[in-house]
Amino acid sequence: MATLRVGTGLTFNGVTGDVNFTGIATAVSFTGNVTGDINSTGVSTFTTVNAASINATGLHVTGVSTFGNTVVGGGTTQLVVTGDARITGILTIGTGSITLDGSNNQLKVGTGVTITTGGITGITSINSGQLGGSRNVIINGAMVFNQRGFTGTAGTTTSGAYTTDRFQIEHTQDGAVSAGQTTMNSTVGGNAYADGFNNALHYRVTTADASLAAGQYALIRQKIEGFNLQGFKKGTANAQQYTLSFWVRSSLTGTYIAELEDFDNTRFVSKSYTINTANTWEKKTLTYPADTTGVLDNDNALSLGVSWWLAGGSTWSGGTLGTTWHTTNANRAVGQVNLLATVANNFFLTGVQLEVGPTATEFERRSIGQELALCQRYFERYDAQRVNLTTTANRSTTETVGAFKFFVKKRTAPTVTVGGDWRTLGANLGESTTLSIVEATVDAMLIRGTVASGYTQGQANMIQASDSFTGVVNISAEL
Amino acid sequence: MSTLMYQLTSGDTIVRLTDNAFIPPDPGNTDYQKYLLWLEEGNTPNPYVKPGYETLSSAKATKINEINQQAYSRLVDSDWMIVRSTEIGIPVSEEWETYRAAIRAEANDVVTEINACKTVAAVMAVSANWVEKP
Repeated sequence: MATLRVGTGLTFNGVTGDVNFTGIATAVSFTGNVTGDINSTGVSTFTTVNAASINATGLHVTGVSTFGNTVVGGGTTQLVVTGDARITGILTIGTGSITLDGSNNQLKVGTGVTITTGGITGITSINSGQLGGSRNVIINGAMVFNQRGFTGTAGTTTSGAYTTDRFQIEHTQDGAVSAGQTTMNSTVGGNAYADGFNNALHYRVTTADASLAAGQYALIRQKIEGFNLQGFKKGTANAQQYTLSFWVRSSLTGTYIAELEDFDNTRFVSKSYTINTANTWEKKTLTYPADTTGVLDNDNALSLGVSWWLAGGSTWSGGTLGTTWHTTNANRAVGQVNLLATVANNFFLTGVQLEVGPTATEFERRSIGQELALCQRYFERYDAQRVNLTTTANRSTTETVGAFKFFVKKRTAPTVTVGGDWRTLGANLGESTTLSIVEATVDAMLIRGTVASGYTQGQANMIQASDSFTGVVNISAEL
Repeated sequence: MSTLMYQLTSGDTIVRLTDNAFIPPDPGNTDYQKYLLWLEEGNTPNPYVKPGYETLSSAKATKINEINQQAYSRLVDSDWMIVRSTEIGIPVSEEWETYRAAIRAEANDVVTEINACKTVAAVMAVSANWVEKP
């Protein structure tokens, strides 16, 4: 039997049908089950509503209604509003941690962050990393700069050599490989080209090594100096995650390994990724765990290597893949396919970004001049032109000396390699000159030109490339 | 034994002979770090060789060239006296004639001495003793 009680509150039990209030409805409490509608056209005030359930097809209140201490729902979905909703005051979520203030167009998160129509204040990071600027610690990630001039068809083959700026190949194997820059178009570049990448590092196998010895391997790597890595806070209680994103394409599908190597503390962490479709550009995103062990030195020396494994013998792949930071060589490249197994296998890489935090953000596109300057901290090439390399003063009848200031201050005093044909112009026209480097600092180098005879001591000269324009100076402060 | 080879220079830089790279003695330079490891393995760099003095024959040619250049630079300042004497008959003073003859004689003597040398070190040790200008 249905129960209706009016007294210290309204009590409904098992009422089938509607409950209608046409005047002012006021109840200290409202208790009961109503299977029909509750309709109120007047002012309704319910201090508490304790109905076990209101199974009405609708609660219609057209007047001003006040519900004190109203509990909505009880399942995992506490309150669902389908359609529009409006709160004209301040909506507080939680116990004051988040407030939405429509009157003042303001959203507050705790006491730290406030978002208004004029901007955001109090924000301290994005994805646990810095707010903006240089989020990407990889230099030349879009493979734009290729000062050494290696190409996809005429690449470098030497282990340890650099290809596109800041990227090097390293291997020990019985085959042979070549690596250089490839210019992309819609055919070669596919989705990566459509994403705005016009160049890639092109690695290809020229002699196969189908059976790797235990210690043999091949990889592409970028080495990063400690000064640029302090945002990861490695080795501290506040250590951050690392997220690596890149575009990749290969003729060989399967499992590949991308690894971070802490050179300061000899620690590694690897993640696998799959190339699903042959000869098709695919974007990969890998997040590596934070490491509270092993601080990266805050200096200009090598601290972190980012490696794309392409082959690895059992010395590197005989264990279990180390997806948390570890010290075991056998866990570094477990599952890696052997790209070297077949001649003409290839591997393309571009759009590389390594950043703080668990989220891959859009690739950071720096200005062309800024990216070049970042590259030139490690390598700078002077190509032969009619512009003089330097002016010099003759020290003797056979020796003339002058300074050459680098375009960008170097990471360290650089190694200098001089190639091609040079000559002295000035008081001694056209003398074929042998160049050597007397001294090099992070800012400049002292160049010496030597001839068999003919200089007049104390006179000035200029050194420039001979008419063959083969003269080149490579200035390297790579890690 | 490492396949790398290095050579000292007249300054602080070291030359890596595989690619003739000049390596400064900076502890942060990775090529210099490799050089130090190479030394620790018990290797020894080649000594400095002044350009042109790589072999006995090239050393003699270079040294003779140097001596002739030195003589030339001492004679050239007074060549105008010879031209004036030839063209308009004003004689060259005796002291200048003696000076010029002494320069030529010293150059010839030193060239003879160089040609008689048996080692590069001996060639490098030869020097001329030029008379003072009048």
